Amino acid sequence: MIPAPHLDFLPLLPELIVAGVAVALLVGGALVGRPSQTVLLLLTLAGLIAAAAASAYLWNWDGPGRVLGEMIQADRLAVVSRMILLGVGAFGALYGHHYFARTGVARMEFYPLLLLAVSGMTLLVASADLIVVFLALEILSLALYILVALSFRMASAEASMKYFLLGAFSSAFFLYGLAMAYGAAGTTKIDGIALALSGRTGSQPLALAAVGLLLIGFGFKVSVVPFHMWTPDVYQGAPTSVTAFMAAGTKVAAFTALIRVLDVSFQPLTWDWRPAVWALAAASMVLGSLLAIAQTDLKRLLGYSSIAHAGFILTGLIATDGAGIAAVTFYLVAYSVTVLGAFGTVMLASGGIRERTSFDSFRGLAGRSPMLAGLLTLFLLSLAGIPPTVGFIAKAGVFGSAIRAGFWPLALIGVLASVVGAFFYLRVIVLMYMEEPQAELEPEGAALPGAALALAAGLTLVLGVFPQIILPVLEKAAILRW
Amino acid sequence: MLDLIWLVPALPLAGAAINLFFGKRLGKAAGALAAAVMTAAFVIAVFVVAELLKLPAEQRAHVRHLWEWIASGSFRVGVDLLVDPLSATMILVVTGVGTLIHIYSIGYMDGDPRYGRFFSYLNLFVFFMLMLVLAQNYLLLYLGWEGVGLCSYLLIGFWYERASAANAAKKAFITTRIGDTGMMIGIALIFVKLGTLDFGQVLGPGAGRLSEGAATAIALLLFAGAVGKSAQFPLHVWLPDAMEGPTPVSALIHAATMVTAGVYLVARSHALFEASTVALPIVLVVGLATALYAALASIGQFDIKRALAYSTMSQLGFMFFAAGMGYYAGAMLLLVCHAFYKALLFLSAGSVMHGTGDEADMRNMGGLAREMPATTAAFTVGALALAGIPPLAGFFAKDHIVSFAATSGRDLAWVLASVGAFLSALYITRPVFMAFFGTRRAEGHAHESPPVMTVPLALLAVGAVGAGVLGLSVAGGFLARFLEPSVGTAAEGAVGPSEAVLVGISVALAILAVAVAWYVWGSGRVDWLGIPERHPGLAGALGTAFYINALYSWLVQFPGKGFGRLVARGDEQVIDGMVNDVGAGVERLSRVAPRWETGRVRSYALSFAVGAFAVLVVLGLRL
Amino acid sequence: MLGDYLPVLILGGLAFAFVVASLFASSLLRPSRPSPAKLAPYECGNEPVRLPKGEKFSVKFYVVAMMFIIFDIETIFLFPWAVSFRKLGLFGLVEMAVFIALVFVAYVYIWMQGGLEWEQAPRPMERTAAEGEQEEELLRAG
Repeated sequence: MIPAPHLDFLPLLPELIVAGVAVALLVGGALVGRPSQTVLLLLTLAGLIAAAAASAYLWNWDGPGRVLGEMIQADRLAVVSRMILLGVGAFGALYGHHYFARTGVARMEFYPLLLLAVSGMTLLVASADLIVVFLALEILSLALYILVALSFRMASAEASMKYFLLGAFSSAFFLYGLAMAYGAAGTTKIDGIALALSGRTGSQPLALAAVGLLLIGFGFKVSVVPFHMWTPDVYQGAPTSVTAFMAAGTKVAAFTALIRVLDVSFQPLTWDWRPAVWALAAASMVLGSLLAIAQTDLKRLLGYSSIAHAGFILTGLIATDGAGIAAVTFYLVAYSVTVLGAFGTVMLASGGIRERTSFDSFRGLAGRSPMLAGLLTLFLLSLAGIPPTVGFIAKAGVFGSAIRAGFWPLALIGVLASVVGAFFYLRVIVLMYMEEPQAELEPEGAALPGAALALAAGLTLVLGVFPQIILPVLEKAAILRW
Repeated sequence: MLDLIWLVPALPLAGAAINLFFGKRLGKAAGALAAAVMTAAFVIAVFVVAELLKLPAEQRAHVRHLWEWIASGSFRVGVDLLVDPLSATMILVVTGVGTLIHIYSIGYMDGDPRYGRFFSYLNLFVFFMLMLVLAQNYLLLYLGWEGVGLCSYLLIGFWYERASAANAAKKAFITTRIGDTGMMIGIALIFVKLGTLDFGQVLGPGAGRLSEGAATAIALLLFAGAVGKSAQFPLHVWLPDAMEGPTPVSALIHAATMVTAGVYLVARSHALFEASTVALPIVLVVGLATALYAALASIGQFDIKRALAYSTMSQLGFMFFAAGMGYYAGAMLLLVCHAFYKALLFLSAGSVMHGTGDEADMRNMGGLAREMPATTAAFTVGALALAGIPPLAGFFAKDHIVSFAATSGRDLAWVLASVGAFLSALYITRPVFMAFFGTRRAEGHAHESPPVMTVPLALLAVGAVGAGVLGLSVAGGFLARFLEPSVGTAAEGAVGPSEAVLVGISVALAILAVAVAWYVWGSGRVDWLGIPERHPGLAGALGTAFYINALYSWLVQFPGKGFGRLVARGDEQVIDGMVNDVGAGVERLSRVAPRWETGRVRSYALSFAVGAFAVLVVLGLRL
Repeated sequence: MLGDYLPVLILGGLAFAFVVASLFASSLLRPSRPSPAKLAPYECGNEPVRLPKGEKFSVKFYVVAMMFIIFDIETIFLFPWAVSFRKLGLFGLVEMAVFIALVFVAYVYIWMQGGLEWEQAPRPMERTAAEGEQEEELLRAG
């Protein structure tokens, strides 16, 4: 008789709530036949809020650090990242409700899929074992593949297909890395690997192969050069509401897990993986910024900008101390808020499901809708990292970490890339304010996404001026115990 | 009540903001609103000062900490407002005279297309001026200092369609900038030496800890700022040109308040100046030189406002002269009295221009007394006050300073100051006779200004007549006793002639000057209109203020332009060239790079695989 | 440690060499007498009339195939569980119940969405005519 293990489900409660609501909505929606979009939205938001409450409760969790067979981490980094992700999920739900419901092509499946993706993301940040990391990556990826295909445009299906094929490709790399890690350390536990490697019981070549392959797997998810090719295609093809959600959510989740893998598992090999991360960060910043210049579609542009931002975040990851982790988490908050705002504005300004996102549609936007133009300007300035927006503080933080760790050339490359970046962000602003409108497109006004945008704009400014509101929390969360 | 001091600057700021955003919509109400916030600020200021007077003299310094502005390591700067006798005097002048000028402007600016904008700037100016005088540390003071400079620029160039106005605005901004830069370095030096910018620490124990050299450097750098802002020689060239601005602006900014900021700065920082042995003598010399120089230049002007501008420079010179002798209370008394009578003179001149269709050349005036009796009375009162005819305000203020030079044993300074006083009386009675008396020398009809303009004139005239009571010499005068906690008492020696003799001499000089002025410009016995032809050298020298502008052009402008062209070429071809090349290169790269973005999954996967290989190679190198 | 894998590498190399060598040898040795019948794609003698271009498999096949896989995997999980049922005890029973419940949810979902209707077109969701038209328009535009 195998004794039933002691199971502490509490640290997994947020995921259980989110996944439970997802399943309930799926079945309930199927049984009802034609459920009200608003009811679905409210239930989704209720689930997310309940999960957030459960997650907040875990801030003062004093039970064991790892539960469920040491598979799930119950630390504050998990709590903070979950809160960010649940917030991102709420934004995604609000955007999606507007995007799908208002235009009539309602998709009941949107909400369960979104919740499943969120549960995958939150599970990812709370993983204490590479197996769970992989599982969570797959949960979120599978949900995202379908979400990307959820509108009827051909581009949407094409994007989904590309994302799926390349995602499967990268999963293979990740799995191979997992196997190598097991081969090197004899365990897949995130902290167990560190113990084995620091105790010199592990194999150095296998460990190097493992960290490389895992980096490749993660690199795909966070769209780091050279694993970035899918990003602009998918960001452009996906429904804008989904793009907003996946751009913010995937980055937060995958980078948090990457923090655990690099700063805990492969901490003994820090000096070995740093050159690789250095090169990936530099390549992403430079190529992301350069390629963005030639774009003529705002969603594509934001796709390339997301590649550059992945590089900036990797720059912060170079420093493995607590302050570096805090800087990265702050960057993730900043990027989420800003990119949610940016894509949300694009969604409202581009005619929703009609997806008029080429630059032509944004010419003279300020004349047609000064509000949307103003908001988009704010978010683009934040993406460019211009004070007093949150993007500036975030960039200063990660560059500061890199310099503290002695990697000032990388910070220098980052600053230069930011300068190039400022050019294409500002060009969009010029386009909106100084050119005559070409497309006769009525920008939509909508209460719910409008409120979400106002919140994003408020956070962009408030956190840009008073970053100390959340910095202490992030610093407390940045202490990794293992 | 003392804690409500923040309302005094906050009200004009609110007025400025409202007029800036809704000025067009408010229409006529914009001026009323601006005047109303000023009145409210003045009333609060009066209450605050009344409260301050209730305290015993040694406790009359109240600091209102609003919030921490900058906190960076040991560098801490708060937004702290200081109410002490010195700042109290200044806020009363600024809000009091400011209110009257605002009311006057309602009439003067009537019909201007940018009516609301004007009052917005004017309110904003008052806000910055109040921040300047209420600041409890040098950084906040500098904020106000630069703020008033900005407003001065905006208001001089208010009619920017006129090239001369736009140029004058630039000239004022750039010239004062020279001094301001020095001042900024001085403030930085204070922080470097003392680690704080707080008045309480810098001027209290801090000044004593400074070495002689450091104190001299700091004091002179601060004085450089004062020289620029208060239009003292050699940075005075902007003030006459600044008369391109609307006349209320000239009255408020370029006569009553902003230009006196330099005097305030010296009085406020007197501990720093006294810590150096050479700083105050330099202040004295610069002040006296400017007083004489500007007085001479004023005699050569035919533009009524330019004549008044040189007069202002001269009066400010007297203030610095007093401060340079350590007689800060005298400087402040002159500052207060001057604010009244110079505002009065400017506003009267504005009234003349308003009534004659913007005529500013005194050669085309004459005999205006008949058509503009109120204005004539106002201008005459102001002129007599400035001339130092007892018992008007100027008599007390100037007489104290001149006498102080004698009683403190500075005989040469006393003689020169007396000459300056004589010239002052001469140059200010000159426009009275030229413009208001005699016969009309131009066609056209002049008309008296509306009450909204003449009532402020009357109130200012009351001040110009009565402000002297502040200096009634019973044990040093009320103002001197009031200011004692802030600036201390001047060490008055009892050398030289007795008080009565000095007063007698100064009154005699003033009356003599008026008489001379009457003989030359009023009696009709001298063909003064022909003087420029008969004595071209003299008239040219006086009229152009001794060719200083031309000298500066020659010294600074032409080599400067050449250098500028050189730099511009370097910038265009080297710097811009490099930047453009980089930009073009980046753009070329960005056009090449998309060729990898084929949109084909198989090529994506290929690049993925190549990248993966590269990552593994990089890691393999660590083996 | 990597040295332990050397025999594997050698074996792989040998296998690859054998394949290449035998193909090369047979191409040298075999006689080459092509005829139309031999070159036909299918050696049953029938020329293909047309390439299977426009004729795709109906999506219904895939839906059924996926259903099959779901239940197939469920069965695969059930076998080892059944073998060690007694050892796992109540905990195992609860776990398996949760698993089966989740699979059942998926089944219900497919059923309700019409995945089991063979004749009628599977309806991913019910749509009104207006929505259908809008969708068509979007498809054309996209």
